[in-house]
Amino acid sequence: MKRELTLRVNGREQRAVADTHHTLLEVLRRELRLFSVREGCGVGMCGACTVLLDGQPVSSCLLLAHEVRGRSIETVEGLAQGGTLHPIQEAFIEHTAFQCSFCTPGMILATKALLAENPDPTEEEIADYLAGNLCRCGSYLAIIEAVRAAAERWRAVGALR
Amino acid sequence: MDLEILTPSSVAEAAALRAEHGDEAKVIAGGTALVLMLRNRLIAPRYLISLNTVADPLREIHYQPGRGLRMGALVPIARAERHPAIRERYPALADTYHQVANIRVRWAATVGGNCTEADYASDPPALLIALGARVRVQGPTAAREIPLEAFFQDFYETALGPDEVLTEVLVPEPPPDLRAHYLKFVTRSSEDRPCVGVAVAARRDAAGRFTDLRVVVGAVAGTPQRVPEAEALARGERPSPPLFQAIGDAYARAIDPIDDIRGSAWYRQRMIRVLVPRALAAVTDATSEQRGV
Amino acid sequence: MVLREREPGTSAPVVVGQALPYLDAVERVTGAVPYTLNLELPGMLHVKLLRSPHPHARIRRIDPSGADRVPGVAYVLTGPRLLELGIGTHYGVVIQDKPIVAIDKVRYVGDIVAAVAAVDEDTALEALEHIAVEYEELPAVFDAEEALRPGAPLLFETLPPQRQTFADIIVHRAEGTNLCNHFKLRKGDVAQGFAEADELFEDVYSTPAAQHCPLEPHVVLAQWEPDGRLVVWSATQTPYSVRADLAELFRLPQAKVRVLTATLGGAYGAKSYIHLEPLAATLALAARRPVKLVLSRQEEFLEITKHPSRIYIRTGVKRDGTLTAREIRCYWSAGAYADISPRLIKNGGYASPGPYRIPHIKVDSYGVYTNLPPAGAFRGYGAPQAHWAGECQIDDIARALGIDPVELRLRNLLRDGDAFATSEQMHDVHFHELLREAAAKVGWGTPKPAPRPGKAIGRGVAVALKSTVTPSTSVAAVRVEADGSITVLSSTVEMGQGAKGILAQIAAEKFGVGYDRVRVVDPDTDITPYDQSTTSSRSTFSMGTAVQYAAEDACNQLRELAAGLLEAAPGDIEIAGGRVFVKGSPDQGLPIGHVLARTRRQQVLGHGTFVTEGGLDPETGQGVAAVHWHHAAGAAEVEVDLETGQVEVLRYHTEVYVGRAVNPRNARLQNEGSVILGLGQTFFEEMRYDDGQLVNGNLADYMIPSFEDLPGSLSSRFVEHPSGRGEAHGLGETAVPPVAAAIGNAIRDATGVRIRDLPLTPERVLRALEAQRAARPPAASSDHQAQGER
Repeated sequence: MKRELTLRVNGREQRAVADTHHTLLEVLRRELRLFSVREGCGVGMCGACTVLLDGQPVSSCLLLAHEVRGRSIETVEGLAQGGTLHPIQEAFIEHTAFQCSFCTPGMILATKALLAENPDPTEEEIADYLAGNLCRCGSYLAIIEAVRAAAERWRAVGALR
Repeated sequence: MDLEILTPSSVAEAAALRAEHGDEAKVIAGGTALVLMLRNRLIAPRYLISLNTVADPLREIHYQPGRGLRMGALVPIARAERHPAIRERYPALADTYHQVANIRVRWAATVGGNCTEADYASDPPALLIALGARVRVQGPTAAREIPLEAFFQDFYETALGPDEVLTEVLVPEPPPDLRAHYLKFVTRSSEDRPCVGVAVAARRDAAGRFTDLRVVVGAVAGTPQRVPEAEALARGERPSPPLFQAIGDAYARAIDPIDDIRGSAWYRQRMIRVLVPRALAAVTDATSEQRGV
Repeated sequence: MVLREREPGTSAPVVVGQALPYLDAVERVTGAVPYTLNLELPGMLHVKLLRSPHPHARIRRIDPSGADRVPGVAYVLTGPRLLELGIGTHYGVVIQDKPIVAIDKVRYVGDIVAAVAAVDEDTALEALEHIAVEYEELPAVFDAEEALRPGAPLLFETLPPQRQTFADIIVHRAEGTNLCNHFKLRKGDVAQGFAEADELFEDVYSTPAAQHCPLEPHVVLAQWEPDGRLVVWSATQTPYSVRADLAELFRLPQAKVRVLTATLGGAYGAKSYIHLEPLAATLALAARRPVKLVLSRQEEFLEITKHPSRIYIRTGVKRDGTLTAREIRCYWSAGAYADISPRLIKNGGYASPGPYRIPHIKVDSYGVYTNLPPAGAFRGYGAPQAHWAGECQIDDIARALGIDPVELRLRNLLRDGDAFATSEQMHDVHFHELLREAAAKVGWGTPKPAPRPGKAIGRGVAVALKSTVTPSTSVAAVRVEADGSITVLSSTVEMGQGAKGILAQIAAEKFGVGYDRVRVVDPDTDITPYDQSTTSSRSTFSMGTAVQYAAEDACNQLRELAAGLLEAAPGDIEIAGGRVFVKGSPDQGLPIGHVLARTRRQQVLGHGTFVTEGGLDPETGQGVAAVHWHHAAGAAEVEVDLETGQVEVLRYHTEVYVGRAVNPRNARLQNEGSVILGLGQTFFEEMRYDDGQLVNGNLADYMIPSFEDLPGSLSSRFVEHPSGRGEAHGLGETAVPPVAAAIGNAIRDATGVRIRDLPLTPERVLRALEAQRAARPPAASSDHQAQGER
């Protein structure tokens, strides 16, 4: 059944009408038109639908939209501010850490959560944290380089947004 | 699909809703398993009883020296894995939680949901049983505690009553000489579920002799498997490859493993024989960093 | 961006050869890439499909009336209704064997039986439950070889019509059989070759079905315009091929069918040729509304797969390691519909003898219909299956003869001027260098590291060659705009390989303008000129050359225009740095835009067509299979756990020949991506069926490689032509085919066991180890096995 709900997405309160059985992924794409959030597998395995929920990465395909009312949701659309890319985004460009890019928003959000928790991760720690974000094009080595570069920037700048 | 989300404010109310709606209602915690079934139309409940609106104790982790660990059912697995007291006092548990699925699932899935789901290919149940964990469940009027070993009954089946809600996972205080280890063995990608998981909890006296040993093998049958006669082989013995192999052989003989996409029964049998000794070696290896549980 | 200087004396930047970022890099990291998946049309309907639960059955009755009555349902398409629409009913790029929805029979579990177009997905899904279908089950066949035997259940009682779509595809079929195509190659006389041999080796190798798993699924939107034109937005690698097939099906002039393709979220072959476009267009026609059809991940596994293969390979060799003959029979399970199987089994067939000088070769390659999901193009295109057999066997031959496996290969590998299996003369081949380098990178010939207890370490190599589709055609247009910026019109599909950037680099170089002054338009058959396909690692070479020609044409026009202004002969005019000037006086020229303004031309349109020639004799497979050959070597060092059978790749290195790398960063990504895909195929990717029913059709049960599945060290190198002016090769697939064989050979080196079936799961390795232990007394095997822990 359809019910109204308010979601806090990228710092803004957003109202939508959604079925009770619809996932956060469906509502973000259909109602809020946030197309960086993508369904790759529908079973929480690939990470293409990653969003940050209260700062932590989750699969939006496995969450009911009505179950996350009132919690803070972040997508890649919220990262670049005033036309300035986030340092992680810059690092991904510099290292061409993508091919088809379908997985890229999920990779970037997971990286953001990783660096917030561990500002100087080793390659092994990066691989461990990001292992559940799949890139079928196989850009993994470039992504690890980009995450290392983003971490360096973090240390240089002092903080990531 | 006509689905109504019910929002009880207490656990007792949630239990009462279960009692009222029976099979038409499902309890939703982290939702990682339930939403999957819902989306694939494997279940079509009329009601979801959301635990999100239930007051906070379900989200808390308490550790009291001497009294052990209490994890609220709604604690995300990723939080348990990071909790300082769990990392300090129950490092094998923190490590096992870390090995569950991926970071996203761990931030959504809960320690309670992980138990009630009773998925045969899940990692934590084997170790929790090895550590002697119990669950606390709440009915409309009364609460009770169930040892996890008795809680898991078959594939996706538990001892949870139709009017009960799991509220806490309880892990006893680890004796100072307890060492534990969980060995996850995957046969395909790193992201696969275990083909075999072996949890070991061992106590040894000052001379290094086993005083207590629990070995629990997961992912090979409907529920985690213990073979007490095999565990008993260790009593009074010092760690040795022949002892470990004897225990591994006994486990392999006693368990009638399943066949699935991650390995045939033939292969699982052999892996139990190989991996039980390896897990035993890891837990008794003086050079390993295993301490506490 | 930093650009390296071109040549002394000119100021123009060199863009070809630079590691430039993707043109749309910002969109890629902000989530703004406009995939077809995001597209919505006003008033569009959503489609869900009813699929067959049986591998082979006759449809006795189908009743959609229950679905018709579900509120929100616009149209339900069934076989009987399809027959009434007055359009073509069957399609297929080579063989028109696939009905838009099943008409009389279903041929695999997952075959589309009916389609519902409704206001939303939930409504469409619900309506599916109200379609009643009665089936009469038929015997089914799941194995290519069994399906060829007399008396096997027939998928097609009469041969479906065949079309001459591409010049290189010749079809040999036989009424009353499941044969989809038979490719024959006859070079020399294998009987004589075997008679000349000192030793014969005969083996059987197999590979399973696999799925591409592009993270973006197949997506199609279709809309009929008021004037009767059909417009289709499709996530396809082949917009022009789709247009031609739609035009035929709907009996429209090609000019009245428009296919648009946005950037794809991965493809790897899965999105080549026509798939769901006819279904979407039919629903849009019948419902009189635009429709959108998106496959779920589970449905992706049913749409298209990699061919399962079984290859019988017999090789004759002299004691000194000289290969004298190879006789090969390949069986490829095409699944229920032909798709591009008629070509793939040919290319896999002629690749199967390997990149060696072999005087006598006989290949019979059979594509066979089976009651499984259709198989088609998959990154590597038959070469991975072929080289899995050939390159493993070569290793065993070397060991049996007591010759080092690298050395045996070096003695037989093709050099420039040698004749390949097709008898074509090879040119610009570099196998010796690639193999030597690859082997050296894993320490070939040096002592191996000590294995950990209970483990064994081994090394293996493999070489591979792969054709690029020949003959082939690419057409490009290059527009010089009034301000001197450049628009490239090309139907090459951007699917993650960075093709748009590559084409922009090639165009920018011609005019000497900045890379960021170039825009490459996405395929739109109303606007962008013809391209055969974005497949076969052909775009950099084929479309790259067409763009180069088009840019040259535009430059020539600019020279003509500037001749009057600069008072010089067109032949004396040069274009560089975005300026037009008389040779020798770059400072006195004009910006390109000024030439256009002063001649009031506003725009110059250059045209370029690149056509390659070739083809094979239909009976002997002799001729020209490829205008140039992709080639690679791979080398692996592995550690095998002797108790579990688990294999860890300690090092993997791949060497590929690129001719000239247009963008070294993209080249590296292609190489690494190819190897990582190959690792999945080697170790665990396998679609498993139970009586034709897929049991692991989702990403929880079918695994693809993750960050933690990478080798301890993964490296790649591309080799450019020493002249610096080599012919640019595409690299989309080159590094894939050697992976499995290099690893299989390393396992053989470590343990002495030879495994001939993919994937190399721990269980399969352990079974082989146990069989070896049972066959040999323990002492005899100790040289291969390190001591166990106990």
